[in-house]
Parts: sequence; structure tokens; C-alpha cells
Amino acid sequence: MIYIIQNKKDLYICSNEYKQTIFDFHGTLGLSERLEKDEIKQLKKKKTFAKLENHVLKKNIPITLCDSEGRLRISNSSGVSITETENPLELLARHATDHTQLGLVTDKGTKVLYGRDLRLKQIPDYFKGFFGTSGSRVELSHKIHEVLIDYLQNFDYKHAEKLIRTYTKLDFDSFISKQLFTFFNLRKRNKPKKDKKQLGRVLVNNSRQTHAAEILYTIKTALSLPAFSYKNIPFIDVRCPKKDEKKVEKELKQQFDASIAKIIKLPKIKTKNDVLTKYRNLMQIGAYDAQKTTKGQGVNVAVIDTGIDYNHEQLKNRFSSLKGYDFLHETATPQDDNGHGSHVAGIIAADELGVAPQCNLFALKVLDARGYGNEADILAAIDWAIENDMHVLNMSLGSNYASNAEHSAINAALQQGIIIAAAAGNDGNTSYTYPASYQGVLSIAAVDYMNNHSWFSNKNDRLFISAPGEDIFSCYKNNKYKELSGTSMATPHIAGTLALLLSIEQEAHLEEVLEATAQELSAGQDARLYGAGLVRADKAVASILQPT
Amino acid sequence: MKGTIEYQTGKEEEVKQLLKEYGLGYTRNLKFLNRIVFNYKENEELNAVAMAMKTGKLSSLTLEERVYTIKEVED
Repeated sequence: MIYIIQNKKDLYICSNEYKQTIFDFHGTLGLSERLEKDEIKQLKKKKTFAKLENHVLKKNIPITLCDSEGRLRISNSSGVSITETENPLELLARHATDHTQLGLVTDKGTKVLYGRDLRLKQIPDYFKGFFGTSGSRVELSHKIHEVLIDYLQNFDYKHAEKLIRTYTKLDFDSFISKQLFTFFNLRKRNKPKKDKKQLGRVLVNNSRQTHAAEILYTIKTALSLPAFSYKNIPFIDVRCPKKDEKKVEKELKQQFDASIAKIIKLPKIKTKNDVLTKYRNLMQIGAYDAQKTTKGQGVNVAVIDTGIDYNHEQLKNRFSSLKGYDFLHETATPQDDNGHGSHVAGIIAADELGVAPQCNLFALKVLDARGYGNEADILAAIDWAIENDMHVLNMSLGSNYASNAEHSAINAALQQGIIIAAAAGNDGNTSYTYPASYQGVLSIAAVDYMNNHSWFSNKNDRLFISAPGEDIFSCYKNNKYKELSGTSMATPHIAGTLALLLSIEQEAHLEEVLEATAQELSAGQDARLYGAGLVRADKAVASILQPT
Repeated sequence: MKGTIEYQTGKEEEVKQLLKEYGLGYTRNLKFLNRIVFNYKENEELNAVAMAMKTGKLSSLTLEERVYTIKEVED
């Protein structure tokens, strides 16, 4: 809760920032003990606020004290009205403490909006966030900043608050979070407004009557409705409220040849169910040719992601009674509430859209509806994959930080012979993403349909191979389809290709096969952009079948 | 919130007992990774740290700190 004390000259903000409530009024009033919320409640019961009020009133200081919801705490005879501040964040930053800053730090730059110390702009660019303390330190890391932005853009103040509290130790309530949203003028998702004043239109045929002006006059005076004639078309356009359209048409018909104007609609755009039989990305890697030999029968592929829509028309045949596991909700029904996992799964194994349309799919849900998850669930998913004899893991997810626990779990899976394909990351820079960058994991980069390096795909020395990752058409949650881009989409092309190979050969070093058969993408190809080049499912399969 | 703690082979029950003592909830045993997943409430991180210290495996404790994301690429 933020309390605002205001008089004619000064304004003080009192917050329970750092769990401390400070009533700072010219140094004469106040509590500065360390207080918990429950303690504040107790103080209220003990009428501590009343003491404060009495003191202020006794001194006859013109003051308004209200809480963040504008509820009156005290007022006096000076008639100062309650004023809710429009920008409590600004006030907080300017007045709450010496070291609080508020700024917007994004990839495009840093802007300190409020605060006494503007040195925030000097911070290294990997420190990003809304809240900063003085000097070169801010509280929110780049990753957390992204998560926070996402929450705010989705109006999810509850989680935004939780995040702010966790990582900044600042205690803001929902009101403040909402202000934060409007304050930074983030992208709003306005609902399209309904046109309440939708007009009705009745057309009067004027082709047999030459005096259009007279007809216009008659209509305008008799019906009191606006009417317009066209220059070159013998019709008069009479406008009326939509609800009166039929009534007006009936009245006009008594004298004229009139009819309600037709509603012209654009033809429906073909979308989800217009499933083509061949897709660009599959042709690009030679998947159709490879499928003449194998479709991945008998190979178990686990997708560690947001779950999979296992009822999807293109995916349902890939699942047995064991569908995987939802580690977030601890259930055996890992349904996708985001769409990402279904998209990935579609690229691997959808009936008509997948690289290996007859492999067995398993959904290991570790990411929530917003696409976020934590390490414990990733470890549990890897453990599940080992226990249930998975052959390939697709991990189109990542963190910018390595972890010993995750690394050892990955190693345990590799030792069991599981092959892991993971997204190289969409930062477009040279940073490493994990698990993709652990040794032994296949780090997958993205290219566009012309085999150019995708602008977002990370560039580093851990890249293994490239696959199509731009505008990939695949399955989506709720039995839908969508085009998505990212190294997340490139990765399942590799998982699918591995499923094809594993169905005909379990003994060979398949990573070496993929590398040896990859298509070189340019003369003197830069491995830091493409790894070994573009994966070629057809050549890889042919290479295995070729007698040595 | 979830965390994991590694255990030495055969010491699984001891760790389960410690979780109980420190008020942490047992979730599942990752038998191939020699880890136990436990849950804890907000502000109970210190209990988990204390528990891990008692097992002598502080360095193998993971708490809900690393955030995984799937970044969608927008034009």
C-alpha cells in the first residue's frame, strides 16, 4: 500500500517499500520501525493513524492523507481536497527514498524517467529493467525484464507484481502495477469498437426520372432522412438507422423503386483447413523423398515444451494411451495451453505436415500458458524421458544461463543414448542458450526459405546444423494451424529427421551422418552462422541405406 | 515453487526425512538423476538452503530461479 501525504508545498510518499513504513512529515511525524503487513494492521487497530491525524490537525497543517485508492484518511478545515496522483510511480521515485529510480531499459536504449541519479544510463546493456537503484546497479536482469514486459502486455498484474516483489524487493500493489503499465505506454490490445451507429442504406432507382433534385427534396422533407445522389449512377442513397431500414424501404417503395442496399463482404480468406499436401519447409530439407523410405515408425520422440494438442486432427494418431506428462499440474494429460508445443510437434510428426509422420510422440509439459517454466520440471522431464525409453528429445526452449544440475541431467540422458536437439536461441547475437550449448546437445540454427541465415538465429561456435525456421506452417492448439518463426521451429526438423534415421538404423552415429550429408549453404560457409549447413533428410537416409 | 536436491545413491530416504524436518514438500524422485523434486512456499528458500547444507550438498540444490522461455519471433 502506498500512502500519500500532501500539503500545499510538499508532497511525501510513504510506502512499505522494503517492508518499512515511513511517515515522513518534516521529520516530526512518523514511524520508522520495520513493519510487516500484519503489524500495520495491528497499528491501525491501535489507532496509530489516529495519533498521526491528531498531531497534524493539532498543528493545523493543511494536509490531505489518503491511501492509494483515494480513500480519505484525514482532512482538515483548510478544505484541501483529496487528490489521487496520476503518476504514483513518479512520486515514489522522486520522494520515497534517495536511491529509487524508475526507467525504461530496452534493447533500443535506456531512458531514466524519474530518479535523482541518472547514472542508470551508464549501465551495461545486460542489465535491463524497470527499477533501478542508484549507480550502476539495477535489480532486474534482462531475462526477468522480458518476462515482466510479457506479463504487463497481457494485463497480468498479479504475476507482474509477484515478479517485481521477488526481484526488486519492492512491494507494490495492483494499483501501482496498473499505473506502471499505462506509465510506460506499452502496447495496448484494444478491442475493436463496435459501431453502435451503424447506418442502414436504402437505394432508390432514379433511372426513369430525370429530376433527381426533386426526388431528393421529397425524400428529405417527407422522411427527414439524409439522402445523396451519385454523379454518374442513377441511384439515390438514403441513409437511416439500421433498425429502421425495412420501414424506410417500405415507405419509399410506395413512390419509388427502392431496395435495401446489399451488404458486400470480402470473400473468406482461406486459412486453417486448407491443408496443402506439400509444404515448402519439408521440400527444403528433402523430407518427402526421405519418407519414401521411412516415416519414422517405432521411434519415440518426446517434446519438452508447453504440451501438445494430442486431439489435433493432424497429431492424434501419433499418440498411444501414454501421452506423456504434465509436470506443472502433475497429471498424465499434457494438453497444450500455449500452442508452441503443438506447433513443434506438428513439424516433427503431423500426418501431412511432419518430417516423420509415423513416429510416436510424447508431450512433456514443463512450460506454462505463457511459455515459462523452471528447472525442476525440466529435470523431471528428462528423468521421465530416460525412464520411458525415449529415443529423441526436442527442446525448443532455453535459458541464457548454464546450470550444473541441468547439465548433469542432459549428460545422463546422453549416456542412455538419447539424442537431444535444442533451439540455438532467437537473440540474434553470439550468446549461448542452454541446453542447446551443452556439449553433446545438437544446437539448431534457423534459415529462411532461401537458405539465408535468419536474422534472429544466434551465431556461435556451438551450432550443429541449420533447418528452416521462418514462417513455418504447422499445428496449433485447439485443432488450429499457425505460421511461426524461430529456432524453436528449426529444431523439430532435426528431431523429425533423427526419427527417420533411427527407424532404419540404431547403431550408427547419426550426428555424424547429419553433418556429413548437410548441404553447404555458401562458399566457405561460416559455421558460426549455419553449423554444418542445411539438414538434408533425403541425403541422410540415402547415406544410411547406401552399402559401405 | 519447486526445487531439486541431489542425493547420494541409497540416501534417498534420509533426504526425504530432512525435507519433512524443514517443512518442505516431497514431490517426486528422479531416480535416473539421483535427485528429489520438492516444493516450497515463497520466502521459504532459506529452509531449502539449510536442508541442503545439512545434507552436505548445498551446491547441488536448485531453486526456482532459472526461467526458461520460448521466445516467439515477431516481424
